[in-house]
Amino acid sequence: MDNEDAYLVTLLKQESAEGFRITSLTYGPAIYSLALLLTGNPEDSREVTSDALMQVFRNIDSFNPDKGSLKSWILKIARNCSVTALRRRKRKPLMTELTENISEEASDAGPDESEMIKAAIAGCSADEQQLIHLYYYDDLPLAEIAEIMGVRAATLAVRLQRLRNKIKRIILNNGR
Amino acid sequence: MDDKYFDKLIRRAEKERWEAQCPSDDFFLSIATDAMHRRRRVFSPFRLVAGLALGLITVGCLFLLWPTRKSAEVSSYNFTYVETVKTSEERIERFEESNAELRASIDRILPFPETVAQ
Repeated sequence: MDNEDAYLVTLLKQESAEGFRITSLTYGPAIYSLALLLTGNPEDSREVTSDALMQVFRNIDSFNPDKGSLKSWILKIARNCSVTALRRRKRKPLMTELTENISEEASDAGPDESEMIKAAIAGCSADEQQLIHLYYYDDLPLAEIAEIMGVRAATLAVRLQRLRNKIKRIILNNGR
Repeated sequence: MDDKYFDKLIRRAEKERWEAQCPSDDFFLSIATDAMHRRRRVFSPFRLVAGLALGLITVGCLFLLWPTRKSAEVSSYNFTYVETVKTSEERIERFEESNAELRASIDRILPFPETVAQ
């Protein structure tokens, strides 16, 4: 555990207001974006972010630094809260809704490389997008992503390489 | 296009993709503020009630386990039996003493004829 996380954990255990503020500002955006990726609904994502942060504040004593970083522990809670929110509303992830919006934005933006990558990612499956998100947006190592997603790290490494090749192919084909 | 450069492109695109949709800092700060209010509202009365309950339980246990608690009292003979013994020998000794005192009291109230004659 790095020094910043150790300090934050100490503050949270003391139920300090500063600890709540730093955690919300540091990890809130990562929780929200993962929730939005999984639920596809901004309202649900706000609710999930709030629930997940409250769980983090309440259960900080059960965080074990030997099992992974604070970020991966928090994102695991966020993932569970998103799944619970979806079950509560008895519906499947709204990936298509989100994907369509992003695809439209991407096509309006023209054949820029970055926009092509965004469109290519948006065209991937829910699990693939989750892997890309945790690896590239949250900068988590594969071992910790494996812990969050409940999949072996070796399997994720293979999937990630396939995804890279897939996105590369899309860009090369569109670039021609 | 090598993998490292490509990773950099994906990372940038993924960050752009989500940062644009993220709520403002005010939203995240409001969650922290809410957590603070809930902590004060829920945890403090809970702690107060838990403290009182713990205090009552402690007093109850002390009352039940106190070693010099009076276990019997025979007030009509002006005789008080206080059980402070710990070993069986001590208990027998105390019992004999109490028995002698009791017998003496009875003799004073209802003396035997030979006792009266003496």
